[in-house]
Amino acid sequence: MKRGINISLSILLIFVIVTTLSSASTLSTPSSCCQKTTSGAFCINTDASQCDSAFSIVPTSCESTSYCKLGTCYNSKEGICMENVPQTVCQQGNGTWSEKSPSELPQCTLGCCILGDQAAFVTLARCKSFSTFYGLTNDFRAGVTSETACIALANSQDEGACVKNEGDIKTCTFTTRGQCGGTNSVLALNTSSDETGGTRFYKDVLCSAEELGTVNARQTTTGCYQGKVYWYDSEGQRENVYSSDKDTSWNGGRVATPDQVCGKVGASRNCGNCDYLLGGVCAQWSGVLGLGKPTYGNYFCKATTCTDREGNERKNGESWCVYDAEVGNGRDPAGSRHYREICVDGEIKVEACEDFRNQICVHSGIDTSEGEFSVAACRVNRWQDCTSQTSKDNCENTDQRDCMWVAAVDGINFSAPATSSNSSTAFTNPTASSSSSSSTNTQTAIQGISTLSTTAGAFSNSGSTTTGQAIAPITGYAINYHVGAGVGPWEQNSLNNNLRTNRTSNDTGLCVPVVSPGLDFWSSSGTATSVCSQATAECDIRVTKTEKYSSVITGALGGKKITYEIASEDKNKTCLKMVDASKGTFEVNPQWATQANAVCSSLGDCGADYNLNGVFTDEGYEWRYGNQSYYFTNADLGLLSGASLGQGTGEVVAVDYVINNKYKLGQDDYVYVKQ
Amino acid sequence: MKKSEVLGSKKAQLTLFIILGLIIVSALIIFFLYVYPTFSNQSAQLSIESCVKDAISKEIPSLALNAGMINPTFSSMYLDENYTFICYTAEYYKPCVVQTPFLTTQFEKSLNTKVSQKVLDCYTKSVDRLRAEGYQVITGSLKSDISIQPTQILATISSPTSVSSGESSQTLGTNFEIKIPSDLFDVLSVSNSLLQFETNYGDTDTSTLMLYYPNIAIDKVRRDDGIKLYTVGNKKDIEFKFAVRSYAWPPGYAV
Repeated sequence: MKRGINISLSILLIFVIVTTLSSASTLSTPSSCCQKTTSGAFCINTDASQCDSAFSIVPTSCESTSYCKLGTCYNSKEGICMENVPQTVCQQGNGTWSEKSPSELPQCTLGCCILGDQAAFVTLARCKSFSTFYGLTNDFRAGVTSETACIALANSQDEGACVKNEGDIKTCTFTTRGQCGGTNSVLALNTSSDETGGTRFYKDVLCSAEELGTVNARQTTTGCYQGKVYWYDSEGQRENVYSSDKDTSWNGGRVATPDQVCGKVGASRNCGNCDYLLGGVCAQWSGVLGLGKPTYGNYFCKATTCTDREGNERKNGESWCVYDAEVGNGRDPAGSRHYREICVDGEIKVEACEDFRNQICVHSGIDTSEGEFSVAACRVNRWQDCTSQTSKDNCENTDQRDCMWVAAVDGINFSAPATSSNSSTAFTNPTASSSSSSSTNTQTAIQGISTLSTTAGAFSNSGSTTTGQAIAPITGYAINYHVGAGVGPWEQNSLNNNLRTNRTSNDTGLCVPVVSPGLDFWSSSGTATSVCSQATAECDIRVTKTEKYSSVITGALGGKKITYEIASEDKNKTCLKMVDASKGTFEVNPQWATQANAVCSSLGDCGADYNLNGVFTDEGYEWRYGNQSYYFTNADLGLLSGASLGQGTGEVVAVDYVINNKYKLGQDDYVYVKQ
Repeated sequence: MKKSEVLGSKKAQLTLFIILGLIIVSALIIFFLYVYPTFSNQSAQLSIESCVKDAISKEIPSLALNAGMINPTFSSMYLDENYTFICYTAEYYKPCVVQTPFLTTQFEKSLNTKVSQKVLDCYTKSVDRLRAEGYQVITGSLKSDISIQPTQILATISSPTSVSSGESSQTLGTNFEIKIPSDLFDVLSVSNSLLQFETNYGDTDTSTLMLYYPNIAIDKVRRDDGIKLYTVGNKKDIEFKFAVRSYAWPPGYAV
């Protein structure tokens, strides 16, 4: 009977476990595969309520279904292969679907398609389409496996005069050897070509070369080709780069490189060797009354420039970083974001980096004859493993991560498991807990530990701005911004004069992000709590109490002398200051708390700090000593920044803030608004 | 003047008038039999060409604003403009699922749908005009096809048409090819490159593409939650807009 009960219990137990696991599994993967969502998207893993009921809804991943399985879609008409296309979408678009990757499909193999003196890195089908359209022989080189090599191949082709002899008529086109298809001929200087019949290719010879005896008259018009100005002959065949010194440009009817004709220029009406890095591109002259007209023809090198927010002139194509707040060294406030700006045809385009500082803006420069050409990019902010680093070298290894090594703060230990705020209340007041022991000259550790703690937390949502407001600068409404110089080192490393946390070269230190990440502190499912709690600091100080008796009698009469002293191993800790050694009274040290808070806020949108709008939020931390809570005062706030942050209500305070040696913002450029 | 001289002069005048009359009548016969239908032919053809060009040119900008789709439903609103998603994922850390794999094919399809009726209208109006001028016009079935090619849009219209007037009859044409210079192919090719980059890497380097294609302007706007809005234009009349959500990261990702 007992056995039967046991079996029944076992079955029941298994049923319960299976049911629990099953329900847990369902809960952990709440999404379904919608063949089509109510908003019109195909094959999306999302909540079942978002699915269009007229199409399939399966409570599994789309990858597990046949119709939504992702693969490669090939379109023979366009000659394009697209990855990550659901089968159903591919078929609707008249494509051929395969679950193989493009590299495994022969029709998706890319090669170099030579189109005259141009090249395109495309599939064979697309190459054939292009060649047919331009009336060229299909020249597809499957052996070329990169776009760079393809471009190089196009540039390295032999060019010259392709002369067709048809009776008494000679026609010439300036093209590549491959496109000419004629037999090779060598044309010596000052000799005439009396060859007749067929097609001949004369390498590095212009169609207007007198020796060829063609009807092409030299240097009739000018035009744009690959961003530079070129001379064209009477039959529209390209010659050398334009120069107002016609003879130099013509080069005796031989091909000359642009640099042989004239040096690279940004803007010029006499030289057509326009250089992109100098901001120059070929443009058509469109003035009136001949004002500013090129010496010959209607095309010239036009240098388009932009003026950035700080009034600096930027060349066409130049890009640079722009920030809407302080940047780097853990100073990026909540809601801030990095941006890059690009100068395109005299217009500045703003591109925001990923929100929540998931991306940061970095820049570099290219040396040119007219100064540095700035290039900026948004790239991933690699802050994730900063707190795991225990050495300065690993921490500041910029190949691996974007972190900085700062001075250690008593009580913060990233490697220790984060302590919950409730556990940090184990405080014993040394005065109240004086021992009843009356032993002579004894040193008694007072009930173990005195604890001061700050508990790191994320900002609360109340009174703070969400990052949605950071969109404003995209539309040009930024109030607080500054522009990266675009030269020298990364801005973030140049801000040592305004540190909140102290960078250190000591072996003991803490590794924190250079650009603190943004966190969704308002969301219960976000990562703010786990990130911020790493900076929870508990400062334990052991205090010894010494009772001295001058004599047994005086001792008996209460003539003992009691002194309190911080244990030698904790003497360097800065969290508490002893006020009265005879009474054993201590007071909290705001400097320690603000240092702990600085580390805390450098980890992300944590702790007490100002947000992008200059609004101070002090709900992101708890600072306790025993049962007493403390808050930063105005005086402490000064410590938060190391500079004169705005402290008064409704007051606007400018901070004279240096980005690097070459660039300094004025008083009006950078403001904090304390509301 | 003598009487005989006067009579001789009158005869000469009469002969001259008769000759002139014959010439005029012959000229009229030749004109109505041969020259006029030829003129009509050219006129009718020109009428279709300009009409079709107008129809296509008007549709391209509006379709481009919707990523080449006629009635897109899946889009993201930004500054009162809808950006149609061509690649989307609702998840974090995942590449987007392509919604429109071939932008040129899609655009051609939409353009044909939008313009085919207008092409028919152009043709009907042209035929009606010929009929109003007294011609008998025999028409066959009309087919039109629009393809987007490098540097141009090619509209091919098959319309076997013959016109007769009196005893003469002439075939006006069977296939009309109308070429409209356009940068649409370049715009769509660059957009396809952006789509491929987004699918593979979750981002694009717009400045490099603008360097390779100086006549193309690209605007990229990052919205919250990983949505990116692109506007690819030819700096003149085309602005191709679309939205993408690929490899989105949550705040404080990968912790």
